[in-house]
Amino acid sequence: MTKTITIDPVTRIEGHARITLQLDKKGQVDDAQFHVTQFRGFEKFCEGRPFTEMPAITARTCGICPVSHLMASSKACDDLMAVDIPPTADMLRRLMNLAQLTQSHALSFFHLSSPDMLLGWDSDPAQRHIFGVAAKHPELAVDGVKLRKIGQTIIEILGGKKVHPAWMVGGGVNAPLTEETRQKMLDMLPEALDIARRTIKWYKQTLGQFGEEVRTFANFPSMFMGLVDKSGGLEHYDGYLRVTDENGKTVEDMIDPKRFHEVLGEAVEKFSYMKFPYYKARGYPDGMYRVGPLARLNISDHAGTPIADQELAEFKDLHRGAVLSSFQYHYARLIEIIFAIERMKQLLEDPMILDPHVRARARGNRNEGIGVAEAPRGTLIHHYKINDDGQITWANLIIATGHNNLAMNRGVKQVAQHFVDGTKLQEGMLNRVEAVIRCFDPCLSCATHAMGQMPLHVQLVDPTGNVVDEVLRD
Amino acid sequence: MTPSVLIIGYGSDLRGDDALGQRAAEMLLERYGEVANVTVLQRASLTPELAHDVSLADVVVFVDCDADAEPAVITRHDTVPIDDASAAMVHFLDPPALLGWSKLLYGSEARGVMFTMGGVTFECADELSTPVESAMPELIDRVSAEVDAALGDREVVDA
Repeated sequence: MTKTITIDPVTRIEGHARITLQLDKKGQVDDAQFHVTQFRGFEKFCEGRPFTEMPAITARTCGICPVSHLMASSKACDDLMAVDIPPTADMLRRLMNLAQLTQSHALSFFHLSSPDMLLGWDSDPAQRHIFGVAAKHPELAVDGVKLRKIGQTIIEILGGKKVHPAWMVGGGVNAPLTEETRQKMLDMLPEALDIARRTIKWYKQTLGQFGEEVRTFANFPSMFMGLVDKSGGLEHYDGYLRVTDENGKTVEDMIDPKRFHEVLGEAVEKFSYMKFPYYKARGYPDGMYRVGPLARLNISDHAGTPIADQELAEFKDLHRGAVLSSFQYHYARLIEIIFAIERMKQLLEDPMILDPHVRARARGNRNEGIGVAEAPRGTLIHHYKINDDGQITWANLIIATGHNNLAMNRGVKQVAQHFVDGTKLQEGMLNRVEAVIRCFDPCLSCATHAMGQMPLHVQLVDPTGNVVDEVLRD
Repeated sequence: MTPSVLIIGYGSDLRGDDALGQRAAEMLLERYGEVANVTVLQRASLTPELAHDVSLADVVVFVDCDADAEPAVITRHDTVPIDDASAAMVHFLDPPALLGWSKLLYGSEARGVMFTMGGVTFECADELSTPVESAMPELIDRVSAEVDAALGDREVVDA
């Protein structure tokens, strides 16, 4: 007799995802599916809009990472306009992207994942949240708030506001930097770096406590993909696509991001609204790959800033070839925060950042445009087609979280097989199933971005529909 | 010593009357922008990092729309920090949770005051309804009276 365990929702009350665990006759997990049940339709309702509106429209895709959509969309518009943006605009966009990376990674690490690490996966869910962390480790909670605030403040200084800033446009940005604001941002960076360095030190000291989670949280061979710069270094704004295999061997390199469709395919499954991108050469679903911080560090030869380079070398020593455990997404985030802070300092200290020429102006000069950038969660692709009047006729957004869809499903299965006993449902087991998804920090707007008593409904159902066991947490 | 006052007007600026908090902040910024010990912030929602701003203030004045109140009716009430904020979400907080968060992290003893006004429409729109628009001057006057009283009735230090 087979049974099904359903975790529904994975998220807050208005949750958009659920997990189904299929049990075999012995009550062991046979298969797992991570369902994304929200439907947004952005690609469809963009049709007919002037392409110049796309950065502002697509930024509304998400309240968590609007900057990333602004970035990819503005780059797609650059492509439609057939312009090379001014070098200072390139620098300023990079600056905002790195600030976004800092605040987003800080949110993921300190607010969402640190409660599990600090308070334990088996701890009382009523206390397992950032407030619980603050009660026991106030210094860490203060650091998390401060680091996120620094990233958010830099975004606000550049864009005029923290959420949905309209400063980035096709052709560049719409306002140059002043000496006063440059200095204001520079003044914040030393404290940010201090926080990042003591946090990574703490993480490395405590990593040994999480051996079982490291072994079982989506720890399997897969490919990795992301952008690298022309020297093979860590890149978040431009550069080239690189794909490496499970042994760390490069299988695609220096791919112009506009040729992404030559290496990536997209599949769909009935059980989820989220698409399933895959590496074409291996087919579906064998072409599973991961993106995001873990992938970016695995594919990069070096970081390009002093402290991040030291940390990256240490990170790569974790596993020969490629670091395969998705638990180490947390570690990778901390290294990327250090890189972002160091890189922002380099950019701000370059006199060219104050050049007033920050925007190229043109109408649509091509009928097809592609913009690719690294969002905090991975490679983000915006692909548009326009008519001769500059109206969008077709749009495709390949979201960072989507790239990880196959790996997240596989990860849920792995952790469920290790921790779930089909005869008895326990809080720690349920939380680990969710925690493996948190490692990827998926942006389903809400999914796994809840804290405290995350509502969970888990049922064991036999083939005739009878509930044989049930846990309700609300 | 003149107390420091933080005003936070918040709400979605794309959801009709939900924008009244942000609009109020904009108007209050014109009035208090040059006053050294008053800070005015416009926000879409109350996020955790505001805990630090709250910790620097003696008085925090929140301005928001109330979807359940009678249209254009203004209400003032004291807001106290909650100790158990376990139900709060990561990305946004309500005023008691934000005060509680600031108290927990920074030992903040800021006094909280909340002004709300009933809204009429919350559909996608970037303008306020007529009743709410008409009541905005009264809202600004009442918030200003609160701020001036907190500052010690005219003991305002100009920047």
